[in-house]
Amino acid sequence: MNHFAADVLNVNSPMALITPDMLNMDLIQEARENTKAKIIKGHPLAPSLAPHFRPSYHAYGRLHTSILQCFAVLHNQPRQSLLDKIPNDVSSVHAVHTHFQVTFENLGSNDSSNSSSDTGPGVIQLLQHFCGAMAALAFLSSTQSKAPALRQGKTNSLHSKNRALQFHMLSGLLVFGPTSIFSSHHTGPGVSISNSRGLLEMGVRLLEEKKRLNPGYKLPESPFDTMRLYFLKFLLRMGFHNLNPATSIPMVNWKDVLTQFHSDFSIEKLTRLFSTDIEIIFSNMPDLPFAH
Amino acid sequence: MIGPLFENISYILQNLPQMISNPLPSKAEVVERIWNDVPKMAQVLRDGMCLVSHLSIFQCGC
Repeated sequence: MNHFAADVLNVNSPMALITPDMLNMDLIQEARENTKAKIIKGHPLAPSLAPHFRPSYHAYGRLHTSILQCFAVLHNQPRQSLLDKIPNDVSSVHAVHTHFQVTFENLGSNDSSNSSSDTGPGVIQLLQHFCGAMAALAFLSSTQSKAPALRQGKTNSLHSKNRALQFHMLSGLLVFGPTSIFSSHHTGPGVSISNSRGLLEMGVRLLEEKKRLNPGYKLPESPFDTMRLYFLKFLLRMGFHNLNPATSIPMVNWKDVLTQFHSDFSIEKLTRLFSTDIEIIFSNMPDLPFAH
Repeated sequence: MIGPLFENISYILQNLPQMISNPLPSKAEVVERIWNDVPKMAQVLRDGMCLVSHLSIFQCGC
């Protein structure tokens, strides 16, 4: 991937607007070294020109991230060929699990760290959180049926790497809502499967207690309620509350889940939901410090 | 392990949505002002992080 990035960024070609033969490349090289050593001297434009002739690893990192995220966002609309291959039976969960794992991995690349256990930046992290929660649900649902051998090694490897974080994302979204995307730890000892299970357990106990004390209880309004309801209603619509009495696994059509998820959680839809929630936060703030 | 986990998820899905109030409406004049000054918006959110991190199950207390 990085070799490809290097080729794309090779601007030292006849098509470039400014080519090395137009410049004193010794000065450019000196500027590169001065920048590294944090020395300010030489021609003022030289530091700006230097990185274009030999882009630093940051440039490749940014391009690499862009390519991976572009791939992930394109994956958001699963190819028809992938959908055609998904069987209409319980084994479909394995193909969908693989899809969510790969998309999650690609969304997690960012330019500060290409470690995919990290989370993506900005709006991408919204999508990655929902994708991670779906990967956790797909994994949990896949444990009762035998996985096909094809591509399962890669899926298992991605799952092992991201399992704790994905469970953490799922429990955070269910108990706290999308606020957890911003407020929860994304790494560290607190991100564990046992904590996620405990959080779900605690969420259920609190809901039971609130219902028992006041059957018509309403939670106070909180930020990102629009997005919170949207996600919960999506899971309800897909049937994640309908459990098989024998196995306790949700009775969902995973092919529908995949198609619907990538339509309902496109970057554009998430951006709209997010901006609506931000507008609601500000609309209900007293004494806004903005000029009229 | 899986059974109780899905039972908890199912319970949350069946009971939490009706406890969440319908999101409040936004005000058109506020919407116009905030998006015209995104740096200020970011500063307000940072200063009022308690508001943003308010979690409805636990009362924030601020």
